[in-house]
Amino acid sequence: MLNRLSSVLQSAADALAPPPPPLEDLKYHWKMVMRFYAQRTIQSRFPIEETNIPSHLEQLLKILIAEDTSTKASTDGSCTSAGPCLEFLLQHRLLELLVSLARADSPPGMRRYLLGYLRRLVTSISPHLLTLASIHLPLLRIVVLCSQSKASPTEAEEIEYLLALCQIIHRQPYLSIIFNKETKPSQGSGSSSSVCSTALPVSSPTQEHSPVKNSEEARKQVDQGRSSPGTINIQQFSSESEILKTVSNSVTDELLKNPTSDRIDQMLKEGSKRNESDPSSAQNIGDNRKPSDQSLSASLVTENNVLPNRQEKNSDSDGGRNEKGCNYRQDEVFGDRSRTTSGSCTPEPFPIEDLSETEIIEGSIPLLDAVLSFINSPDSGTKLHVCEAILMLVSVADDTFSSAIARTSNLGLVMAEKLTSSFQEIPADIDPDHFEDIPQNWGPNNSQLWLEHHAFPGCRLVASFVSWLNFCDQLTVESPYEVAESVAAAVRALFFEIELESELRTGDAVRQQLITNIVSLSLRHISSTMLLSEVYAWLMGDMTEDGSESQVLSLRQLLLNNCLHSEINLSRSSMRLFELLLESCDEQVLNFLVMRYLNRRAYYDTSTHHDKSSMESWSDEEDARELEGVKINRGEDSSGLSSRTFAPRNIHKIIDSFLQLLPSSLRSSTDYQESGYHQYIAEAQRQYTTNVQMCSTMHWGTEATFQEEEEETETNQPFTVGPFLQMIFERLRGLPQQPYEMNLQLTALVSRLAMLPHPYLHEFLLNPLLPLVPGTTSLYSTLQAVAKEMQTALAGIPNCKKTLVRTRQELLGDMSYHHDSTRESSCLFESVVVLEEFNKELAAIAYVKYHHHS
Amino acid sequence: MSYAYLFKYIIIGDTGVGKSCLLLQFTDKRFQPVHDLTIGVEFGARMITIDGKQIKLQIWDTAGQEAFRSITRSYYRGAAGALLVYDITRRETFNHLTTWLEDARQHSNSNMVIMLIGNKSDLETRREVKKEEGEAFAHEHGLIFMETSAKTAANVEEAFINTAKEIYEKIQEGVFDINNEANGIKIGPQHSPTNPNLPQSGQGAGQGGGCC
Repeated sequence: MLNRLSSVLQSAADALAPPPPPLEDLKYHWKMVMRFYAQRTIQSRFPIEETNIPSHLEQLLKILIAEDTSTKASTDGSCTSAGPCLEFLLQHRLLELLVSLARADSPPGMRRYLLGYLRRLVTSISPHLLTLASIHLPLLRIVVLCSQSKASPTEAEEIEYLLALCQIIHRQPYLSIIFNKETKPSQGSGSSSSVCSTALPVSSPTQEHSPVKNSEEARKQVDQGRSSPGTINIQQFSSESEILKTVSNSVTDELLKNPTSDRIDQMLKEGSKRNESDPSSAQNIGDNRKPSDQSLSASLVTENNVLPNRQEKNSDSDGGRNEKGCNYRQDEVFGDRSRTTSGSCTPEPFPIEDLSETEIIEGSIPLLDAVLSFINSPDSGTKLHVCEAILMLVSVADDTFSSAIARTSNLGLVMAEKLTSSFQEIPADIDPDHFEDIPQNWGPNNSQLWLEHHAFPGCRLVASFVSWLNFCDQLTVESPYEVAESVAAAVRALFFEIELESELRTGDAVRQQLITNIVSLSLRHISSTMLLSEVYAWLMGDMTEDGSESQVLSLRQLLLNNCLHSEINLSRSSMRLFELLLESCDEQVLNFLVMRYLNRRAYYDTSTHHDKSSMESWSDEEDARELEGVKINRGEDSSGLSSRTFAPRNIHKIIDSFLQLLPSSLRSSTDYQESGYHQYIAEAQRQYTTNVQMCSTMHWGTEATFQEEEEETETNQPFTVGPFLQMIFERLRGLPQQPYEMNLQLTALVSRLAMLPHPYLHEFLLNPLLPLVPGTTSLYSTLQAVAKEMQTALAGIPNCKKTLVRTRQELLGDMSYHHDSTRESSCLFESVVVLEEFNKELAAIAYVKYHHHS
Repeated sequence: MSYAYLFKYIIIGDTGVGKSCLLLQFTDKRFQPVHDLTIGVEFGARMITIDGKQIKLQIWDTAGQEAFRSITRSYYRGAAGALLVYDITRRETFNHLTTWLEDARQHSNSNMVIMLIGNKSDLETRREVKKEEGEAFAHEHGLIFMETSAKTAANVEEAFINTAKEIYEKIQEGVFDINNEANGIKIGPQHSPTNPNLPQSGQGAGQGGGCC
């Protein structure tokens, strides 16, 4: 009410008299704000809304912005001149005082108001002004204030303030140095002349050794800004009563006006003592306050003729305030105090903070620490701002800044912890099959649509986990290398290695399946190559591991064992995981799974050949082609030549081998459309083209030939297909007994493998005509054995063909399929159909590869 | 408050040579034995009198550390005077003068008056750079030169005031275009309010009871 009334009165006054010059106007509003505090004793605790403070501060802001705008206009942008209002703001350290009021939250609501106020201030003024110590130091103190408050009622305003600062640095990377404490060791500047008995205890600049010390220094640097032993000002008083006390003290001192130079010395000493003693007691502060104010008076007196402040003050008091004299005087004093402690324009000081208040371990970038302190906020708006702010900071185009983030911040750790805790919140009894189609998004409407259609218990928690996973991923994508590396490493260590792996090793089959699905989900959602390669490295084991398995079961082997697990769901999930791994076409993954076992071509039976030239090619027919002289230079990748490995002359023979693998009595497809392999070609074509593209960097070549130098050194080692192919072959042998879903997953995995454009892998899997070392199991021989087993098993069953046809119709046809588990033989019939289709698919893959390379 | 001219200064030089202490001594008449490193830029202002005219100095005290160089550079423009400071007890701060000078010349207007300052003259026993060397450097590059001590205040006033005198003379000679603010010079307001209370009391009446 009064608030509004006063602004009406003010506009009335404006209309009657022309508005005063901006500086006078500014001073007036500032004084009015200060008057409020001077009169505080007679006021009850009105909330800020019932005071005039906001309206005065708004005017102040308007004046400052107007001046800043006109300065910018007159000096074409990057100016370094200070208009009178800005000068007043700098000299009298207005922001510092405001920050103290925000800390004290006086009157109630002041903190909330000032958080918004300062945010509007920094976003409105030229960013260049942030280079000024008297502007950025108070702002940084608010940043620290934000990082200390957990779940405060002003959370929304705090994170908005932080986000605004992050945006400014993001747009003006050169300002990042201001917010990077790493470049500011607290070691005093002057090396030589700083010899003084009252010197501050100077902390060591080597911060990384002791985190506690580090945090202490960190706080010191931000909170004090610049510590000067002699000067104390209002900033240090965190409570309202202290502020009031100061006001009255300063009034007394002002009236006394009895300064002596030795008092100043005393003050200097006391000031330095304060650093060691506990500065938080009000008594202590009060005591120290006096000399400080006297130093003010001293300086005013001695420099009476020089300092503009003084002149101004004289004219003010000379102006004669009669009945209001006392109040006015207090205002003036208060105003002067802030001016004087901060000095007549001097590069001076902030107060020494009470360091015992909090002992947070901090990195060198308090802004980032503050943002990260909001990460556990339950509020989705806050969470979104946190994510935005982090992305802004990591993508600041300044190497020093990002390097400091990578080396000194907790960013990686915090993100990994957040990811882990959001994973832990997922209910244990959730259906692991619910993870398949969760959309990627960490934004505001993350997965809303998905959630609407998937209302299962815990779905929100799953969505929350996925959104954090997506955010970690995006963070590693958008961060500079060093930062991304630290985040990816932390996520691997904390989330994958510690959290997921321990569960995989100790959990029961259901739990293991859930974890396996989470890993699969991660693989699908992660797009950052750096994070992906960390996950691959985790899954596959260390690079150095050199064939020799340690006593501890490697995670890779554990997952392979799970593929053979009797619990079908776990087994299927594990195979799905490997399918995703193959899909990635990652060199390390492929190497660990298959390539390292095939890479010497040791499966190839050389004993049937006598001369070297024929040894190097891979089938009798190809040898014949070579002898005809079709190909002169072997092993060349020149584009004009087609590949003998992928595109052999006998391709039709190969395709037929697959199509005829199952005896015709067991084939259930009836019409031509179904009996051919053409239906699989389009899909195979699409996938193979993608694969060729993805694998092009690995330079696999297109011909399967021996590498000469290796031949002699490693001939003695017998060929083994490795645990991965062993697992696949073993599962394939079980085809007739396994449930339909399992077999589908299995054949999907194998065709994924057959789709890779590696010449050895290709000939080993897809060329039944290849001479193999005796005793070697191949895909073809395994399938042959399975076909034989099926034939034997079905021989005794009457109406076998009919049942097969019906099963096919049930599985592939329009009829909705109802799995009849009571019928013992249904598995068998289904698997025969699966095998028939699988053979066609393999034929299609061979065909597609042939076409691609000829 | 009223002034005839406003000059903008910039203080530059290696870290730890005493730039902030010089400013503090000049504006506050006191010496702070331990001073934290300047972060970004500090601001100071003071009124002086030259030739009977009030002149306001706005001084930008920059951070000496290399990391802040780009920020420092942004302050060269629009400065009428520069104090280039080295530490007479540390030879390397003298050796770096050439780099500083190049930087200053490249980013400032050509008329900027540069005052070379050898600071910490109170530490005679630890002197590494002779006064003659400073003089020679200044002479070679056309700078004014002084040795100062921010601790004892010796020559501090003179350093700031002499620089202002040089700028003032250049104005008298017509070298500076005083209407171009990019030169770091501003003419004072013609009518500065002699009684600033007037508008205030007018508003104060309206606002008086508003606080409570």
